[in-house]
Amino acid sequence: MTSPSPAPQEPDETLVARYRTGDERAATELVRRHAAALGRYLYASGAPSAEVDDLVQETFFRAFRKIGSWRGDAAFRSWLFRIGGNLRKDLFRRTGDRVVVPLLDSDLRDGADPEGEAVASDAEARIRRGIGELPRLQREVFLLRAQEGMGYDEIAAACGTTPGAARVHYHHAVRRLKELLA
Amino acid sequence: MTPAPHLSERMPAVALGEARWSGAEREHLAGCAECAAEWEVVRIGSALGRGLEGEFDVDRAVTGVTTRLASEPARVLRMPRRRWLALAAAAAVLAVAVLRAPSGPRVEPATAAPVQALLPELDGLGEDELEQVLLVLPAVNRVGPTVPGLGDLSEDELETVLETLEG
Repeated sequence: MTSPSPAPQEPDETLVARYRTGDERAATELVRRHAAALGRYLYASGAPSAEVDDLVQETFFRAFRKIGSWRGDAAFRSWLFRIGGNLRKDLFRRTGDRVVVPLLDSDLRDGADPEGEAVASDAEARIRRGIGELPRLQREVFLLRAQEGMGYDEIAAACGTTPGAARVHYHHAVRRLKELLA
Repeated sequence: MTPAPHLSERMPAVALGEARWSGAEREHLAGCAECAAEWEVVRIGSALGRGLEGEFDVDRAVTGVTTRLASEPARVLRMPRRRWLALAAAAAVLAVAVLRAPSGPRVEPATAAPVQALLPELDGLGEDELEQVLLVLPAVNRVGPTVPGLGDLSEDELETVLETLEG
């Protein structure tokens, strides 16, 4: 007899509770559910593409090792993003605190307007570099809002701040990033 | 022209495909450089890494994480003894600073000085190490408010502090 796999709609809180009682399948489900979004968040924060895979795995490993410190007051995914963001910061510190966002040939898509594509990729690279250089809260708030579509209440809970402050951080981030495109 | 607030608020949802611009909003975006620039930032920021997400090898992540969880059982942090001593010193000085601080929120300069002297050391600590320091503080605090400083602790008491720090 095979035991049933976790239902797709099972809330993160339930999976975490199951993992805490020793159910390793819950860990598998949590990784499946959040790994790609976490990788995208880390990439958007300026982590080199080649490092994203390792950073994602390290983030989950650390998260599961200190799962007791997740109290459920922020979304599990936001908590993962916070851990991953700290790891990314540690990586930058080790590599000289520089955000390296090279523009690779593979970043330029084939198209009828190669010049236009190059301009778009350049803008993307500048925004990505700019996001990586934002203060932590500005970066987190911007990405949680722009990539995850979170409202300020949810962002505030995830980042340990108030909705009003989250709104201010978001607008500061946008203003800084706009300057990069000017 | 200042970006229209309602437009600004809707940008993430439109960028994520959860909403669409109305005709009037499109018209505004076409004529307002500020809003257009903000929309560009949000649109690009929203799309960053979208291709990566599709290509991300989730199975490899699952295998990597679960294998590591199984092969590296939960353990206390292993650090060189010198690292632990630095941690112990940092935590102890912070603990003393907390014990000596007046009831008000401000820290007296005489107390703040040794803490500031340790800031470079604290700054060099990783996230887990800083967490260890923070975890230790309440334990030291339980020694009681009558403890004036490390210099007044007996060897046994100092050992207790170090044992608490080292787990």
